Amino acid sequence: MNPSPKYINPILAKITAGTGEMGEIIRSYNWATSSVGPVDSWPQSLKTALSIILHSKFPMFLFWGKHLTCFYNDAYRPSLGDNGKHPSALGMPGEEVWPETWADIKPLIDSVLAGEGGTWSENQLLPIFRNGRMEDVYWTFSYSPVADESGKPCAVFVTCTETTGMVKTMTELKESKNLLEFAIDATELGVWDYNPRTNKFTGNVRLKEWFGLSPVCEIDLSHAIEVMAKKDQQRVTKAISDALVYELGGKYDIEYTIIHPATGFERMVRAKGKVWFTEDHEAYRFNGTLQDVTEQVAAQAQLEEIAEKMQLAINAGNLGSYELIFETGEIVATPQYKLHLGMATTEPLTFTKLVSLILPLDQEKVQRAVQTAVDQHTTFHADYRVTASDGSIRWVRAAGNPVYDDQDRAVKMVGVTLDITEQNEFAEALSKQVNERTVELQRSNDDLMQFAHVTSHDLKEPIRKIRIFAGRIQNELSAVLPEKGLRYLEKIQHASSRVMQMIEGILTYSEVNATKPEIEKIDLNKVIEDVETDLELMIHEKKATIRKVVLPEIEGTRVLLYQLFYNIMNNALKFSKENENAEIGITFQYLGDRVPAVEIAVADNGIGFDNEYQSRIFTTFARLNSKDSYEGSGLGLALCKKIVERHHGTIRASGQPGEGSVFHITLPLVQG
Amino acid sequence: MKVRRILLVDDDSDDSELFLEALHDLDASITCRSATDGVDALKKLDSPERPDIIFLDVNMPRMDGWECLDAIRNNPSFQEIPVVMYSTSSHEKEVKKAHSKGANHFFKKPDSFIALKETLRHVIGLG
Repeated sequence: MNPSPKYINPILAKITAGTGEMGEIIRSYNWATSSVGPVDSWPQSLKTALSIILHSKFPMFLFWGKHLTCFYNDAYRPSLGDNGKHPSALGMPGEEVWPETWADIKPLIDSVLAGEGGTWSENQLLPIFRNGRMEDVYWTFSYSPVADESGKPCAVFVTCTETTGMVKTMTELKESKNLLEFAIDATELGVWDYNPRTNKFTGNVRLKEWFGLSPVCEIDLSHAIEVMAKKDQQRVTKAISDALVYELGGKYDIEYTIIHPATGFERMVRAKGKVWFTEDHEAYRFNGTLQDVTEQVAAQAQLEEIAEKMQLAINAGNLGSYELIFETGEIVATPQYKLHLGMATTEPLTFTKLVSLILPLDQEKVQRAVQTAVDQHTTFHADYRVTASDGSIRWVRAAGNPVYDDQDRAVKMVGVTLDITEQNEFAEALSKQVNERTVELQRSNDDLMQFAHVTSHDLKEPIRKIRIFAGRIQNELSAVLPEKGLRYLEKIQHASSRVMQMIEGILTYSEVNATKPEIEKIDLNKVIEDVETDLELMIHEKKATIRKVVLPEIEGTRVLLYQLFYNIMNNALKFSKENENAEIGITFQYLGDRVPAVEIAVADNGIGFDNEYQSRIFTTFARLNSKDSYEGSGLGLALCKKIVERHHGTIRASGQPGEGSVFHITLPLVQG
Repeated sequence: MKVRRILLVDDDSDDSELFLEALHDLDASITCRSATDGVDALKKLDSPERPDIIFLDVNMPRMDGWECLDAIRNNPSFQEIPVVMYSTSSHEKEVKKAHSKGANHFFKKPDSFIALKETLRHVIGLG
């Protein structure tokens, strides 16, 4: 800042007299060293301009002369803020004072100085440095020329007003309007604004679309009423006229149907509005929103229909229904439920009362079931017995779902009940009958087995004798017998040998039942080895090779498992092809589902069989091949099946004629 | 010890006949007495002429082979006599039972005469 001069120019003193802070500063400014020079040298036009500026209460600014030296008045001063350009701007060249806006304002100044006349800028953003920082400042301003003595523009006179506050308010207003429009749009609302004085209304595009009305400005209310469903017109008209009556509160909330005049589409809407009254209680404005509730109403109708159907089902099924309120222990029950409990339909029901009706034996079960359902968010199920008021015992089946509040606290249980007394009695009777029949069947089955066992045992004796004596004739008397006699004897031997085999089969089969299952850990490798030893002769005869993997240990009855693998391997050897060396492959795999088990496959390269007979081969006395070519009791595989079943396993076979067969035996690792 | 005297206990006369014939074929010097059931066997045992070996059938009327075996083994005078049991079938269970009750051997009745002789030769050899 320039130091205060001692001398004050009298003209300057006159101009600045009574002009406030800026007058004071200008008066005491050392102009002699400034770009406009000492006051004595100032032209009249500068002094005149300064006089106007300093006396005006409107913000004004002056760019003077070649250097566009800056002057301004008190009214302009606030726009410079604190800690900014004031008071250093005074007397300085414009370019130095306004470096941040110079690029914007210099062209304006130039155009004014070039004689192109004044400018007008409204709400122009010109960020300036003030209050210690750059600020976005909006201005409305006019630049006008100041002419020198020759009439040529020599300075720019600026009148301006800062409009930052107004612009910001306008921006905010616009934003909030946008927000409102967005909200209306997002909620898919129609908005309307009705003028009771003109009986016309305007609305947004959506609303007009719904009514099938032209998008142009105002519409007569009657046009809108006409588009409503006939049944609604009178009701809506009344609601509108009621709303306009000050005493009735000025509220409007109604649902009606709009039938689009062009498409015929029926839209259910909910209209909500508010009436604005003058001090004289005259309605001057009535506006509000319109919401499309077609889907809601349809959903509601559907819900009601479902509820109705459910009620029908509940009635038809003689179902009781209830709501158990956990906090109070109160049970809101239908009369049907109370009938199920054998209590008076007029009597109130609580959880405590319910528990007291339930037989002591079932009480804990029911309480635990309720607790579990609540804890685990599952459906509650329980069958329980109650003592009816007439003393009889009734069976009730109950189901329910817990209902929770926002905090995940169980509030109530809602469900249905059914009287299953008769059903249970029937089931009990049935079960008893089945048990009796089963015992009876078991007994007759046992009898049959016993009979089979005894008879076959007894039959063995005579057959053995036939064989022994026929044998003796063959061996000791062949010399005295004719050729024919010897042939017949051979047939006797053959036939009796077969009878013997069959009897042995029946015996073994019947004995499986009689055998007490002694469960122990069985090394299947050992079982197969034993079978191989016992079939050694046959293996040798058939030139058989047996390939096997190391088998696991399972639980079972040793003799039975031995019998099983003996029969399967015996079969494989027996049904081998005549012109081929027999091959038997034994493999296994673990099965993991539900019960850990092992599936053992015994494959051979024998004559195979047609898959058509897959299951038949396991029935007793089933035979796929002629007796003459393949001897056997007809019980071998039936026995295998029986043994496997005794071990809770399964057996199946697959094959192709001439392609060998595979037996799949599945056995649990553990017998339970 | 060479077997000289045999007691054969069997209710089946055919079998007795076959056994006697087979034994005779094996060694004509062997003397053989037969009993028709357990009761008869115990009676015939009660004589000064002790058999060197007893052949005992399992299934018999009045007193079967098991009871008879028990009686023999429980009697101090006979309990040292070797007993060979036989039956129409030979189940592991029966074989075990025979041994546990003190029989010296158990065999299944063969279904040929030649096989019977082989079995008896083997058994007597043991005795």
